[in-house]
Amino acid sequence: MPSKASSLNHSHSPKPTARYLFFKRDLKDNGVWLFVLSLLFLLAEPFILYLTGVTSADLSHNQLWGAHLGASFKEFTQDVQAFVLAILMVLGLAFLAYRLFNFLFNKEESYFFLTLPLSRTRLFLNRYVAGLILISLAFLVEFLVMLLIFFLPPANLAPYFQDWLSLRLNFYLASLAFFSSLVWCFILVGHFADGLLTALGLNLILPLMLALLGVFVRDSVAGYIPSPGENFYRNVSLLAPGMQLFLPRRGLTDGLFSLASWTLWGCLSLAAFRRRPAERAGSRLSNLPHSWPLSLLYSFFGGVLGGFFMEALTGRQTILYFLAGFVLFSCLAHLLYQVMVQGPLKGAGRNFAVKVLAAIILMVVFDLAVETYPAEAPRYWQDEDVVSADLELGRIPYLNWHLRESPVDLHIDKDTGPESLSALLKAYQEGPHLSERQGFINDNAIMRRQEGRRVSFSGYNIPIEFTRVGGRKDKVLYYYEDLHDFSQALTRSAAYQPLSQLENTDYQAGDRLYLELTLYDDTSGLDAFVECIDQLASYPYFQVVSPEDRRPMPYYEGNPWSSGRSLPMQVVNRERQQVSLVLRDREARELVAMIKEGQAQTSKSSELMYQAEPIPNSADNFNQELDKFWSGLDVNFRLYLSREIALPGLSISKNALPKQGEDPLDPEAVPGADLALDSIHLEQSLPLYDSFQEASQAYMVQLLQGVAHD
Amino acid sequence: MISSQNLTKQFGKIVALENLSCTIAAESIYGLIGSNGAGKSTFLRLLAGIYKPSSGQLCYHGQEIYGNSELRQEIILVPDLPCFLPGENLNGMCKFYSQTYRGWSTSFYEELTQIFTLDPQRPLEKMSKGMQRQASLLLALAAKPRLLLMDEAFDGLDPVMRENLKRILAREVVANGLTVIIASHNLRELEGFCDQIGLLHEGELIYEHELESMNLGVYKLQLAFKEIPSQAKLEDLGLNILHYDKRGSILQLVVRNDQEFIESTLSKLEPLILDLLPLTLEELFIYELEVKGYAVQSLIS
Repeated sequence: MPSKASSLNHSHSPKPTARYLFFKRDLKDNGVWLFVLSLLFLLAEPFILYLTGVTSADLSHNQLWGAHLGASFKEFTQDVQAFVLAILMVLGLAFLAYRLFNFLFNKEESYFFLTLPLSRTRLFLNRYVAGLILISLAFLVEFLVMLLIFFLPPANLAPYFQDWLSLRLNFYLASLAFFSSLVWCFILVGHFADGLLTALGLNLILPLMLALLGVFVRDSVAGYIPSPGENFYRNVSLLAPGMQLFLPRRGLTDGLFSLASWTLWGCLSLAAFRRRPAERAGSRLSNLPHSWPLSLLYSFFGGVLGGFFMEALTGRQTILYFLAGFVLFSCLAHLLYQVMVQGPLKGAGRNFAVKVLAAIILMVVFDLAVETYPAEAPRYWQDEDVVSADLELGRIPYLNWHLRESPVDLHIDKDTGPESLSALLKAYQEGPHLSERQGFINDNAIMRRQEGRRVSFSGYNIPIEFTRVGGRKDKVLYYYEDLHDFSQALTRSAAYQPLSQLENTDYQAGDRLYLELTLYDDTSGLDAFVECIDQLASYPYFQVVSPEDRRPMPYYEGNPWSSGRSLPMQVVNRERQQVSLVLRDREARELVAMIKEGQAQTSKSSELMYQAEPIPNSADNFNQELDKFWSGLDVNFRLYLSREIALPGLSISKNALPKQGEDPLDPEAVPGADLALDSIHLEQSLPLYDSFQEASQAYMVQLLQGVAHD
Repeated sequence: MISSQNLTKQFGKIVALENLSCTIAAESIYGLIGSNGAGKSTFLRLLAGIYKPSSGQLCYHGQEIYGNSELRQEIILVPDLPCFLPGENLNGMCKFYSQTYRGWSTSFYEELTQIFTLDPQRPLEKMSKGMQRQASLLLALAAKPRLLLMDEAFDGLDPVMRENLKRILAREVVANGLTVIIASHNLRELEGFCDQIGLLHEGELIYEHELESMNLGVYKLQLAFKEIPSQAKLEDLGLNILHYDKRGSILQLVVRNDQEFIESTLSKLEPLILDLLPLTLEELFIYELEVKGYAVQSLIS
């Protein structure tokens, strides 16, 4: 053959290379994904706002964003449909990643790209950056639309713009991190199904392992661990960005964690792409030797996740429900693994159906048992040491168990309330019982106690004890976070200082002041309390030291494992289910006196009288509801305000309503009647909840008029 | 020039290529034959820089191929299953290749388009397998590579197109210094076309020879005797027998000796018939490798 010039020395003139060719092509070819993502993100906007608790009603009441966080999250976790949108968003990002990197799963296509005169770094960046730009454009579209919504009348949500932007930027960073982590998963394996399984493991199983590890460490180490919940969620946002899309957070620190996560997964993806053996394309995880450990791993963690999910879905934090979820989801995870990794197996569907059926039967039987024999329920779902205590509380322990998780309102009458409250706060701060505290973390003074399996936390100035009553330990964690935020809010809300000056305040006779402490079984009660303090501070008797300090509370997730599903009073209104603790002058004075004298400390039982207030669906059936409800109130209820506080137990009945001519505030004339009247005034004075207020006002006016005529 | 030193490629526990050492001259056509799974495609993918060698060296003009994107400007692989950008037609691929490969020649592309008679507007995914292969070859040739790697390149091509392709390749080798490595499991396809042949078996290069000198001194004979002499007797006469096949009164021999010596020696045995038959490349391989102890029929089809 005749020889020619050296092959390396081209005589061709230089031409443009394909450096940016893919990039342009990818952007052009994925235009439809830009539309899909934009749509998903736009749809996600109300979902995010819903998740963070901003509603038009909130805005009209000028309430703080964070105040409704807990309740919204509770609703979110209980409403399975709310997951659908989040899942769609996750799938949208997953398919974008797949579309850009699916050549990794096809041998021919993969080889085609790898033979091109492009470095692997360039090849990766072309696709990866195209994906980032598509996501960014989708966010930009959404941002522009939301900008109009925020600043144009009639919404005029401008005050919330900063918080919204902070949240959305974090969500945006989490999306980029999630996209990057998916790319990493796809690079790591040779098949799309395996990539999804890897992503599932990264975003669900890894955080679950972190959570279990965190709980284990928390429970194993004596004493206080600073903010374990925060640490956990930051680990999640760093390592499992997919979870971040379900748990959007705001704030600079969380944003930095998402940014770090994005950087981490982006760099890992690039490194993995550069090192990726070409022959991996098309290979399956099932080719790995001993793939059964993977199957076992997926089944186990799928089951654990299913257990948590079932508890959240049913609102029953019990081992049986957990087991039912475990069986169901471990079967599902195993089936998924079989189908995706090993291919469909003969008989797998039938086996799965049998297991699913067994799990459903297990749940239904237990559910029926609980509904039929509620008194037996605590036996199953509470730790033994607590069950015995609960059973002593009243004749309907099932009811009591829920009541203790229900809102508790603390009302301070205007005549003696401010003074009592002031004294109460001072006594709590200086009282001898505080010497029992095991330690102070800082000025916020969050205290953790553990007596056997019983864990309690106390908050700033007003020690509030929470007892773990079985179910998931996460409950304690969330309560701790609530108290932490609560104490912080108390510190800065300027409520305490005006309260301490109450004794010197001149207020008019007939005026009533109330301090309401509403404790839901999730986080919103404490927020409501802080709000209430804010409202209280707006009364003429109080001065708000720094009104501008009323910024939204720090973001937190709330308690997803809420247990309000089976509240017996749910027929009335689950949102505003209330148990009112009324401390009038006598009780308050007694309380303060007891605290000052140290008697409260020695009193073991702290039974307080409670008054449950039904919420009418309408004025017409209110009376029936009231009769029905009050007839069942012959129950003593222990309020865990503090173990050290003791008040004599009281009971009330329907007969306690005041009659014409009687002094409703005189308990000697009408035993217990003042309590009901106080509640009437309370509802008239605190315009927190429109529907309830209107209904109850109308009824109470009618009722009082009727009593007057009698 | 391509040089391979102790080249080994493993996929997990499977050894696809083992200690392969060879040298392939530039500006030549190298035929790589072997049965399915012999390692031909793996070797081509190593040459294309797709696979990273597990051990050993594989160099093109003294440079390691793997990870050298600049070198891939000169190397193009035409795979057994053609692959294109999704949704593209020939013109789109032409635009893509023209921006990708510095040596791209639009005039040559147009010339090849006439030869291969392909519709440049038709989406490549909708073309038949043969047309896709033609398109793939067309694009590869128009990119003017220095090293063209072809995996089962003639599959799906009709005889006319095969001849066209062979002519074009030969012209490119002569005129532009192209080096072609063509892998096939069909020896007949490579006959009269390759300068050098290598036989791969279970990841090892068990035979390598230049075709020009390959059939020198090897002859196939068909003889008829009243009494057929034994192989030992023939070997005692000085014949270097590669193949001995007795069927009735007919004897087939493949021997490696000088033609005159063969004819004079066999004439002494007074054969009824003595025919000197042409040897095909396939037969040549079979007889050569049989001597080395390989059951060649199982190595090549």
